[in-house]
Amino acid sequence: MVLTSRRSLRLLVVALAVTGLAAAGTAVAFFLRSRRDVTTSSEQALKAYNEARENDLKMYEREAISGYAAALQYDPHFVMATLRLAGKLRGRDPERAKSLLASAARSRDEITPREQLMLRIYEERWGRRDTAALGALYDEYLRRFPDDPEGYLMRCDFLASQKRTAEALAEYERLLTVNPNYAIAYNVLGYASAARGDFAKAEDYLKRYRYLAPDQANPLDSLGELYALIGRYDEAEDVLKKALAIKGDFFPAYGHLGTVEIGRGNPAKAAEYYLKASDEATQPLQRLDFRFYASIALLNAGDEAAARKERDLFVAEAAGLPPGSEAERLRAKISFYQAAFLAIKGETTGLDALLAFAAAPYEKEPDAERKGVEQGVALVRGVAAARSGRCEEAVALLRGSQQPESEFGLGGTQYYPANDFGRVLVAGCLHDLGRNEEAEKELESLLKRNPRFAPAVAVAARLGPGRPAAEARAARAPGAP
Amino acid sequence: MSVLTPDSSSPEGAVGVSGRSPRRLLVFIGVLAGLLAVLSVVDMFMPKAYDGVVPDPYSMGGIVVRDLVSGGAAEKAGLRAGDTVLGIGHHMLNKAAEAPPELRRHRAGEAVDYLVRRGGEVFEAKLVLTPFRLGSATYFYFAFLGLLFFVLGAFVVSRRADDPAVQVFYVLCILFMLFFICRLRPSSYYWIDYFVQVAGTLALFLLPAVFLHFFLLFPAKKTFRFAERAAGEAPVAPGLLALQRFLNGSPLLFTLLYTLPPVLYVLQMAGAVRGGPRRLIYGAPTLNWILLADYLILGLLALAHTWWTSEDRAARRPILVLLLGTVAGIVPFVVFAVFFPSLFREDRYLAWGVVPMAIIPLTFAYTIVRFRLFDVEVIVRKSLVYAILTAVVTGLYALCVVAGNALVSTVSSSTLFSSPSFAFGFGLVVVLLFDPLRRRMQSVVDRVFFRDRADFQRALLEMSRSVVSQLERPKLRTLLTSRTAELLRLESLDLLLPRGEDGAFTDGTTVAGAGLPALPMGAVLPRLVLERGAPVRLAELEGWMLDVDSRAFVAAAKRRPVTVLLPLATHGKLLGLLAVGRKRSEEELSREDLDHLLTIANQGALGLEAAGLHEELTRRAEMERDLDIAREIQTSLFPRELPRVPGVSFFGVSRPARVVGGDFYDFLEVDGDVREGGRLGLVVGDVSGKSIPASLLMVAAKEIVYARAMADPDPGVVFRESNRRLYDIKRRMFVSLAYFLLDPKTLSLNYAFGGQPTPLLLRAGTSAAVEIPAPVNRLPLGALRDVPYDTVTFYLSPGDLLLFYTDGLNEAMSAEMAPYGDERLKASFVRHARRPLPELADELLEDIRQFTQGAEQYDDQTFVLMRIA
Repeated sequence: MVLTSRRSLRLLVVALAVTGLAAAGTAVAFFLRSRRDVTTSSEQALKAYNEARENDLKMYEREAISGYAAALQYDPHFVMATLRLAGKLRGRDPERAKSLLASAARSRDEITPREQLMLRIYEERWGRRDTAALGALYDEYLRRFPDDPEGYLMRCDFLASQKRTAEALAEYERLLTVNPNYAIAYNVLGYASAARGDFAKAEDYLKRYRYLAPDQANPLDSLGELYALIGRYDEAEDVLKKALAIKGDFFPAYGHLGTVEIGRGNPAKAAEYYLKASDEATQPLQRLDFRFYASIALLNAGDEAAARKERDLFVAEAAGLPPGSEAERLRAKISFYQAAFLAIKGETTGLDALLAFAAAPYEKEPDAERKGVEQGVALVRGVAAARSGRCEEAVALLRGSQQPESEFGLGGTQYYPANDFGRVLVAGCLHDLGRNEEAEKELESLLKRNPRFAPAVAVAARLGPGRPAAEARAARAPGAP
Repeated sequence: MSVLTPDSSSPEGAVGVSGRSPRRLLVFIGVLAGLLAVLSVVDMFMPKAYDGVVPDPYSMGGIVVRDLVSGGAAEKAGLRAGDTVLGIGHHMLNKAAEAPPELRRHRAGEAVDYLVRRGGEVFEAKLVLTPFRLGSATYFYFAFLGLLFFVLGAFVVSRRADDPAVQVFYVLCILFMLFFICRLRPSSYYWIDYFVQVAGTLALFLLPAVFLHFFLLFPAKKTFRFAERAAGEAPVAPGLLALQRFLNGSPLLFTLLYTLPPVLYVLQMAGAVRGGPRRLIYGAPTLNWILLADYLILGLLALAHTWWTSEDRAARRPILVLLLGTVAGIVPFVVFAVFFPSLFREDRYLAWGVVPMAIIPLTFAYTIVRFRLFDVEVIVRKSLVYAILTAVVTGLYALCVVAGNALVSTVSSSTLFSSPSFAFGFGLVVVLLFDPLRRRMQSVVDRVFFRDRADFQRALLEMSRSVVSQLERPKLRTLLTSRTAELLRLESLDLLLPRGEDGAFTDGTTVAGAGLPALPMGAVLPRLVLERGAPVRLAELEGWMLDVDSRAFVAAAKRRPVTVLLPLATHGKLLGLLAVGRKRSEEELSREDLDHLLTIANQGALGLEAAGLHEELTRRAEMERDLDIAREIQTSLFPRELPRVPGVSFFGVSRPARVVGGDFYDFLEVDGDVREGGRLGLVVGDVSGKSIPASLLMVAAKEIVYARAMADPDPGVVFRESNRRLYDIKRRMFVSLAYFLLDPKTLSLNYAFGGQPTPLLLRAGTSAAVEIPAPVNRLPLGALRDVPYDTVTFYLSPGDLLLFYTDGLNEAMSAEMAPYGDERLKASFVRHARRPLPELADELLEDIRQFTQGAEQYDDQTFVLMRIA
């Protein structure tokens, strides 16, 4: 081989060609891979699916459901559309959800490995509920598809459900390094940060979420909820109304506007928002919740007649429920809300029976779930005790019903500040018992977070001179404007 | 003769001018690269939507604002240095490199939402993007630098597209251009950016490899000899030997050189995709930049090695200049553009590293102009002349305008010198003076800038003159081989000339196997070379239907190695062949080299022809001189005076056909003084053949006859003895001889003759010439060893006239090849018989001359007249 020959030049040309081919090959591979997310024979089905998925991530429930259904009309064997629709319908129509899952399973051999794995995850999640097996499936999914954000989302939820909150959050952070534009991750991280008391960080995440999805109602709603949580009611009201301007039937925003009004000390107005939310809610349980919140808000507002009317309405819903485990749980919840309604009024007649009925379906459930129900029962009894003037009993019961912050997990949406009310009741009872210092301490963390929570401010004001004023403390509160 | 340098025996380096030139590919690459560069420059100087943020290129988790463009959108929107841009246009960003695609989606004047973090606060800001030209003065400089490289490469390749080193240099220049123009530029957020950035990345991959590749080839291929040992030394480890072989030309070496940068890039990018660390400088991973620096340093080391090991002092100077220039250009680049960003994450000094790189093309340009690098100086030479000429003319014009106006304004307000008329007149003058000016300028430029070149051309001219004027073949051969090889720096140059015996072309080597084999005159190859009349590359001959001899010659020539054959021919006649070896630099023979060689070959052919003519003339002159001497000697052998015999008169004439002849006549006094009654011998002879050999034999024959006649004057004895002696001298040359013994007392004539015509006799009172009686045996002397010659005795009478003659008289030929003949001779003899003998002789000769009409005399004409009183 003579180096001075033109072979050397040929090598150069070959190197150029190889580099070009490698670049072209990589581009083609990326292109093909981008085309192989889901399996469907219909372009229209794919389009409908993609739109539904977009709405799903925006938390536009109705649009998502109709979109998935439309995709299935175009292609009845569209497995991913089937699975997503099943997920959406599981809460409101469990039987149909099961039927859809079985239908998807029949096309197991005609779908991509990713879809197959997703199918197995759905089956495991709804079937055996073997935690270890489910965890292994999530791990496998992420190993095989490390750049799919949904894998991180699923695994994060799973870790949170296992109370492995730190791992869950780390998983989300990782997701954002893979795809910093996966909006829903910011939402989850915002809630998680808020649940852990880091409101500044929560606001940072939620603002990014809002920035990424300026045309969506949910980011504004989430931010509004955060502002409501920390007492920035004006900002909360502003963003929540902006959410409703974007999507007028976005019921969570109505719910959170109710929360704002509760915090401001306007339960009557809060009731209006709750009722509006109930009207727009898509699932029975959600409608039930909002109607209950409306009833107790009206009760607090002193409009007992209206409150009773609303209570009667949601109680009436129990009569129309079909037999089955899901309906049984719904009835239990209605009983629980009936009990809570009685407790807030200070009535105890029938209270025990209602609470026993409410707890019955959960007796055989895992500890975590059962514990949650028990805390709810304790809260209702505590409220009843407080309203009856049994302050010592009320303090004990209400303190027992408080969920430690370490158990907040990734957090979640909250329309009625029940825990905050519990603390206010405890503080009031302690004040009645002459234990003002304890009362003030009881309110301290609450007021630190939300110095404008009107019920707490009212109790704090009763604690007497010489005590640090709630308003003064409010100036030091995090996130205060 | 051949010239062979010590390295020419190397089996490597089959550099040839053969093969197809990949000109099209080179032109395509050049056009494509030029187009990309133009696109890039246009893109940079075309107004674009810009936010006015100067990002920190290394920030992650958002774009840290390092600085703000004054009056830019960011500054107007209230952004500050130190802010972190988290998102642009509702798209989150992790690093600065992700901003361009986002900005590309917007237009100037459009309001774009930015998500910004300042301290712990996150807020949205609306930036109204402004039109902005990204191309700064620095980028303009980069573009200029890239263009400089491109022009340099194009210049070089336009002159020597067939030279592999030039091809690599050309690609190197293109990559430098792409690197400067397409890689060292900010993103423009425009569609052009895709192509330009890809081209820039490719340049980054290939530039270091091509740089190193070039300096491994240039100015000569690097040959490592670290594993070589002298005889008797311990052998080296096989691994070391394998390494040496690998470095000295393994294809794998170049494959590795070229594939390492892209592989490294892909690995880094793949690692980054998996969440691994990645640091980018100007959009490329740090390791690629470090590799670039390594390759550049290795290239410099290769050049330094060439300089250090070069034994040719003349060649060391340009290499040293190149080395210094390249070091001055590369080292700051490595420090400021590679190490600073890599080690300190600081790239604001990048320009400091790039600015000195201008030294590299300037150094190459200087060495090309000053030291004939790549032999492209002709273009540069002409360009310089025209540039200087234009400058001079422009300057003169400006001077005339200013001075003229200044002069005129003092006396009037005329603006004559600024008027179009003056410009027109000046232009006319320039047109008239342009050519003389150009020629004068050319000589100045040659003296100042191209001294070496001028020296070379002068040497070539002198050598051409010497070749034409040199008339000695050995010296001519030396001029055509040694001197030409030295001038053109050739490893070998052989001159093949026709051999005397068979005309085969040989290089004159006497040692078997040392030179090229003889190439027969009738072989195909000499004819082919003659017909072509131009250089014939040996590589071209592959596939030709050649005869065995030509094939053998070509095979041997390739081994030598000979690359090109040139004809030395004049008037369609092949006088020799020049077998041209490789250049010592291992570069291929350029078109200009071949032109020079062809010129020298043509001059050489003229020289060879002149030398041949000169030799012939010399030979003839020598022969003329010899003949003159021979004629003088021969003339001296003829009797100086005629014998004085009472009652008998004689007259003798001998007219040789050439300067000297083979005829002779003489008189011998065999037994005393003829005036006192002694007998007189008359000898008339004719030796076969002409010129010197015949005259020598004539002398010998005469002496033999004399000697025998003196011993025994009897004609029979003289003939017998002389015949035997002459036969011994030379078998194939005969002597026609007539020997007459005249006894004045008795007027008897005793004689013998062999091969001679019978003398004519004209009796007194008669009008017819007759032949005297002839002896029986008339064989020429020297034909047979023993011949019994008989004699005749014939008595004369007063008034008799005899003509003793050789056959040159009666056999004289006319222009129509008709013989003069016996009858014409007899008639002439009779017609003029009454005249005195000298006049008779003249008339006889005049008659013959008139008959032959000036036709060439092809035989001596000798006769003796004898008259009895």
